[in-house]
Amino acid sequence: MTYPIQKVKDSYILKLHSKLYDPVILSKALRGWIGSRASITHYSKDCQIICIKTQKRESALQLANHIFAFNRVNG
Amino acid sequence: MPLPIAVDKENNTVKLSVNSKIYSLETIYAAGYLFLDKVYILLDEGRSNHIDVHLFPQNSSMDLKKTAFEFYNELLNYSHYFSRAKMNADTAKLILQRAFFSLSPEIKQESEDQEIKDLLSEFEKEKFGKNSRVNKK
Repeated sequence: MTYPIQKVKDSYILKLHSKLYDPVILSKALRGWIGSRASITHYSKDCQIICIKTQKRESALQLANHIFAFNRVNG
Repeated sequence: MPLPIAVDKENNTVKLSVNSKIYSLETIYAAGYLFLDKVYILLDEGRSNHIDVHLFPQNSSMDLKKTAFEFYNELLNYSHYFSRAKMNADTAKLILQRAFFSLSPEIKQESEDQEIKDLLSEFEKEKFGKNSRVNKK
């Protein structure tokens, strides 16, 4: 089974699809996380996938829930 | 028939496959919101027209299969709620309008006055139109 959270070296990469998470809402949700607990590592060429790197698996999961809640409330 | 639920006991996660033709993304968000305090949720693109919902339990003693089935129940619940809300939108709007009017009689009076004004102006327009046609003849 493939997961949208993958361990790469010492960090965890969270893979988010722009079809499932609105990029505008995503940018707002990431405020406060980028620079402290997470960083954007990669955009796919067509900007469909955004990868976010965190140091801990727990942080990646918490961020996933935070983005999910943000999409629910603001979507 | 294979279940659209894949439990991974080793990693303590469960993956649900949701058909996006049946359940909208809005419904998935609404259903998932109820589980945010129990599980971590991650959405991923699945095979054709499917959305994969990954559930990661926040405490290890959770029954993953049961949670997955509960998630499906909530999907149905919200799907029904949204379809009903869509169907009853006009009626709800009408009831709200009536409630606001009954709260403030001034608004009702104003709207009645406006209605009478509109009717009179329409009537005058019609009358003027007829007169101009008679004058032309």
